Amino acid sequence: MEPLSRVTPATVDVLAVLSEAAGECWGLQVIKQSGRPAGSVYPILERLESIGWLSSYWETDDARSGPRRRYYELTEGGASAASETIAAFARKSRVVVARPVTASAVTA
Amino acid sequence: MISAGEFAVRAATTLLPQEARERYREQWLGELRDAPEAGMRASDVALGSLAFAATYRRPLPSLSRLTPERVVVRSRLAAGLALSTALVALTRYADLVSSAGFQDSPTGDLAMFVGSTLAVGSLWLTAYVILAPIISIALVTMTRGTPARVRIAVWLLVVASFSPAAQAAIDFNAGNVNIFYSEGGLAYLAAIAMAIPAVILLRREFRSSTAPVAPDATSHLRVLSVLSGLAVLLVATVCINDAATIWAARTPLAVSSDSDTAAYMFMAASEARAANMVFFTFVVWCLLCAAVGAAVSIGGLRSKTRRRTTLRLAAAVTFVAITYAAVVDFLHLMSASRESALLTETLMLLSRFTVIAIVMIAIGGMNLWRRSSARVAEPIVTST
Repeated sequence: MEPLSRVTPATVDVLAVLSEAAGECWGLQVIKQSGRPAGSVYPILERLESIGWLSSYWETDDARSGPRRRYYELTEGGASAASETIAAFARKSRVVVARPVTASAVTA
Repeated sequence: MISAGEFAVRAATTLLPQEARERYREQWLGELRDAPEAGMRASDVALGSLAFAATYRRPLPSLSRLTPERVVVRSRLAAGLALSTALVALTRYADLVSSAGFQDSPTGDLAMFVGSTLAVGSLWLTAYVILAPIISIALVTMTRGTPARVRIAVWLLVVASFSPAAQAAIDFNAGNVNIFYSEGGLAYLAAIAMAIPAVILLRREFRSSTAPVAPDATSHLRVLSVLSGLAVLLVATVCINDAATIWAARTPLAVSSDSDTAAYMFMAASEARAANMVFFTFVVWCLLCAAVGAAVSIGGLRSKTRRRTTLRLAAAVTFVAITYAAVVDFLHLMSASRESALLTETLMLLSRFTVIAIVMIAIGGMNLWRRSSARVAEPIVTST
């Protein structure tokens, strides 16, 4: 499993959806729950899958005819890495938000 | 009839690599069908698939397996192709080939230029200057890991190699007849301005001590240079044949009155001065080519022996070019008749194309003259 080279807010949102789903989750579900456009989510899913954080498989429900859904699931290593990434991003965001307040406090 | 969304998805999948198409086609078609059920619009899936396909950057398996050595070989091959094409362009070969160097007529337009070059018989050279830039661009574009300096240099050289066509287009629109002193000549100046930084970039890239060098990294360039040199020599042969044909069908000079003779002498002197200027440009070009050839060759070499050999080769090329130019120019100035001028023009053509061929070989002149001392000696095993 490779590390994530670039972490964007959209990546964190996708990881959060996949972590909360705690199981199978198909593409449109990720798009809807993350609130991100499909044009952002599809590349993120592909990137996460290519570095081994995600695994994907076809649905096995025979009741639905036609093209199958593709389900995504965090791998064992991907799940822990996703938690760390989300936490690190949250810490970083808090620091960025807090910085102006600290600066003004020093000035005062 | 398929919907707009399905059409977009199918179009997007065709942009993907072969091995990824089936997977994403089925996935997106499934999501397109189930979009209303999920409370989404089908257009979201369609636009998403198009955006994904446009930004999909995963290397193809065949390309991702390239070793650093293979990348270096491809980079050198691309650089060699682009450089040799740009050098051929800077020789103003289009003027020489299309008019065989004997007519003060513009190359007209691109169609006329291509047609006339084919008519003269330089099919191989024309094919080379058209195909080489395409191949070099394809090499740097499709080879992941190609250094940025090589990419930029190749693009600059390819643009520079279009200078004959640019000159033809400019002169045709301006209605110029004298192709050596015209606005179209600016195209060559621009080409030189692009070629120089390209050569500097290549030199820095290939001289970098961190750049991996494959044992056979230079062989492709050497073969390419030799072949292109032979192609140019072939063209030179064709041009000489044309010159001989023109000479055989020459029209004797009419006996003229004194005033006409004076006018003729004035015209001949003007032509001689013009040719002198052209030849001066040619000598400068020779020096440039020799410098370029030396720089690229040195950049591609690691062995001190080969470097010395290349330097000597470049120096020899420069010396030969200048000497030959001086002798031929002297003969040209001493010409008293149009027939002898024609002969010297033929020699000039020969010298030009010979130097072009030599410089091309010098550019990739690596391992051409491998010394026996440079070979690795076999260890002597003695039994006790």
